[in-house]
Amino acid sequence: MNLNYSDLIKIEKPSRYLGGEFNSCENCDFTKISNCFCFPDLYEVGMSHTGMKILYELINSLDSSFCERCFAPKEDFAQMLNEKGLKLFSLESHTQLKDFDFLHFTFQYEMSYTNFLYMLDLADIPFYSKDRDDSCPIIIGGGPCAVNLEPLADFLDVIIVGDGEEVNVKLQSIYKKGMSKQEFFDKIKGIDGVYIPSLYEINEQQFSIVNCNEKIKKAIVKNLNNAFYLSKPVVPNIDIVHNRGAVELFRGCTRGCRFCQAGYIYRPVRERTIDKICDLSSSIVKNTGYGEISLFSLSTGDYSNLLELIKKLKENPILKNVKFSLPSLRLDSFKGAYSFESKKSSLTFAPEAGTQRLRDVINKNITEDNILHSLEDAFNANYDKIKLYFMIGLPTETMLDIQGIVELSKKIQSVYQGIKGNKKRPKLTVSTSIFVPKPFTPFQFEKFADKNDITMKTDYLKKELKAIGVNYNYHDYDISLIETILARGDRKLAKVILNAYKLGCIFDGWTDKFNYDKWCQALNEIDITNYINEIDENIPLPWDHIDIGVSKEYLKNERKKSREAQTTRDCRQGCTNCGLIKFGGCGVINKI
Amino acid sequence: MLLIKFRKVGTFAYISYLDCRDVIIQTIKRAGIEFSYSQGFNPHELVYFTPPTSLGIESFCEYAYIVTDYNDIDNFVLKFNELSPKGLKVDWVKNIDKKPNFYDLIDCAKYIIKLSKPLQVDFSKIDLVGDDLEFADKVFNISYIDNEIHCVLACGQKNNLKPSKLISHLQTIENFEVIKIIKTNLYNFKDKNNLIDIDMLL
Ligand code: SF4
Repeated sequence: MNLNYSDLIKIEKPSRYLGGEFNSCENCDFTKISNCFCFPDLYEVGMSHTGMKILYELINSLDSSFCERCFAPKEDFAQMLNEKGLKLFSLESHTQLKDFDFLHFTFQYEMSYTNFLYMLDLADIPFYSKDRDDSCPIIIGGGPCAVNLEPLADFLDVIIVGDGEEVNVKLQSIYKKGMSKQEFFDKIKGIDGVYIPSLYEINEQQFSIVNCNEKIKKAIVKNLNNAFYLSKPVVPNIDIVHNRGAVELFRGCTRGCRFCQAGYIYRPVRERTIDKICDLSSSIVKNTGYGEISLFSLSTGDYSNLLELIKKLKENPILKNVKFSLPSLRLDSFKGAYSFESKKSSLTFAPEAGTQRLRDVINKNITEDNILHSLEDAFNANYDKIKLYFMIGLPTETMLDIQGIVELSKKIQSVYQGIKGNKKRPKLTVSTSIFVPKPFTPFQFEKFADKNDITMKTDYLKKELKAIGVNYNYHDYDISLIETILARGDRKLAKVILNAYKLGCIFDGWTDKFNYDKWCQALNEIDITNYINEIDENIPLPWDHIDIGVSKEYLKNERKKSREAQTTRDCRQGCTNCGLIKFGGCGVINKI
Repeated sequence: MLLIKFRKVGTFAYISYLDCRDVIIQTIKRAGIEFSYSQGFNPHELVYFTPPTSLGIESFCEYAYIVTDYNDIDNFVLKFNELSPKGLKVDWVKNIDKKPNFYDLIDCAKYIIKLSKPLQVDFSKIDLVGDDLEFADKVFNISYIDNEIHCVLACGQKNNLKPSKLISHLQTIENFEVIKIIKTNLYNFKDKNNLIDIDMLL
């Protein structure tokens, strides 16, 4: 590294770029297959992400490969690199990204796309895959956005769709140092989860793939219990967003909320056993010194034997001083769970919609009674700070549904008063986000709400919630609009994203950095109505060549049912034939 | 109770005082060594450190006092150094009974400032101590050898001079970059010719 004291001392938190953390890879031997995991956001955000840590540790456990890390730097650091004529480098061996065999980018949210280009630019790597010869690293994209990375398809060499654990090991074992990209692509095409965008042609009218004889099936780790999981995560030297251990209880979700992409793309549900979770928790605590473990999943209350798990964790001597947190508890899930969790300052619940009708439309299978009873429990357990999350701009929504948010808040206040006395009010905060239609959900065809409509609704909520003493936060409309365009994007957007980046858009997910005017300028060339209006169910979609296991017919039918406010049961109570069985099996069924 | 002497070197020099505190606590926890905790609503580990070294300065003279019942000092060094991140290492550990008053003991510190290029100006002609009031009584000793400035600067509670201030001043005379700054010793001040390394007093 050619940076000295005089350089680094000018930078905000230089340690973001310098590595050296406990459990980080020390043996960076470039005669082995060299990998760098790149997270298109700041260190503090990226290092809080468990998926990245799993793949990092996994690749470092292989004999013939090693893996380093790199994060999107803040502007001050980027400017310094440019001034000094340096290129973006990895944390561990301070090697420039250009010199790795593989760069693995993870896309957790669409608003990180420009940061991907920002990192390539700082690394002096050509943006378009067609402009990169064999001397450039192979650039792989993964993460939840991989189910539709068409907007970045022209920039990426390989996209990994689905669970990364097994397919990444396969790719590492197939690759040999010095192998040409073409040879490598020939060897890996056809593997489940591997999508090589350059092999596909585009229909210029609809921008969907034309030469796809067989769909690209997402990779599934069938047995999560035996799958690799981290036990020696890198322990950051500086504070980060979530500085704690994390154990994934299960992957997938059976609830079937119709707006939720994670709920469909991670199917089927696969659980880890209680013993496995206890083992993983204790090795993480031993190997890190962490005093807190987050037991996470998409809906933690749905773990099939949460009570027993809690009992076992409490009995384990290594875990005796460890605090546990259970994120993503649903309103109606097991109430004893609160008492196990370390006491938090506030509880968060997501009713998502203000009326029963709309909750039925989105298939959020909870009733008002569920909500009020759960809150009664929480108030009895002495919680008085409650955060409620709702979405606005949902399909079929009317003002009645928005009023419903206010009514529900009032009812919650009276439940509180019933317990604590008439004059008291709980500290209630309502947050609304704007519904963004996402690929592979029943609502993938829906229209994105108009600005006037959203403004009218947020204005109403601001006024009415203030009147009853409830705090109100809401998401930025413009960011959600761009998110919709990118989420349902096609290959035409590559140019747009590159333009946006060239105009100076980076860190778009950060409200203070997001620049709507520049995005509008970048979007000038295309007709954005195609991306935000309702999509005709019968035309091909840009992501139709990807098979996540849930059939398009199922999604369409779910959408149809939503229009009649008909719910679909949680499929643990009986399979609803989403398509997973045909795809390769579903463990949920075996449980029934 | 344990007194430890440790160093923060290499890139670990860029870990702030508070973060370093957390890293040391976490390392000791990984080693399975139990702390004593403060009383009260929010109990915390009882660990006390010498005054902060500015960010970016490598230091070979950091000390901490740890309240714990653990007393196997050889094992402590072994375990700590095996489980600490790169650049953070313990040099020695002592069993002691009484908490030392670091702030009373420490008056000044020795630094080596490595420069990117040899200085053109005649260093001996720069009068830092006499003229500039800001530095009077704060620069105890200063010399220039082979691209390096060696100096002893005030580092006490009342009288304190950060090396970065001295550097900024020198940079107004001649432009140079600093490769690294190393803090080598902490002293107790008897008189100008009598600086006692606090190693001797602990
Ligand atoms: S196959 Fe049936 S049980 Fe499995 S996820 Fe789909 S609907 Fe649920």
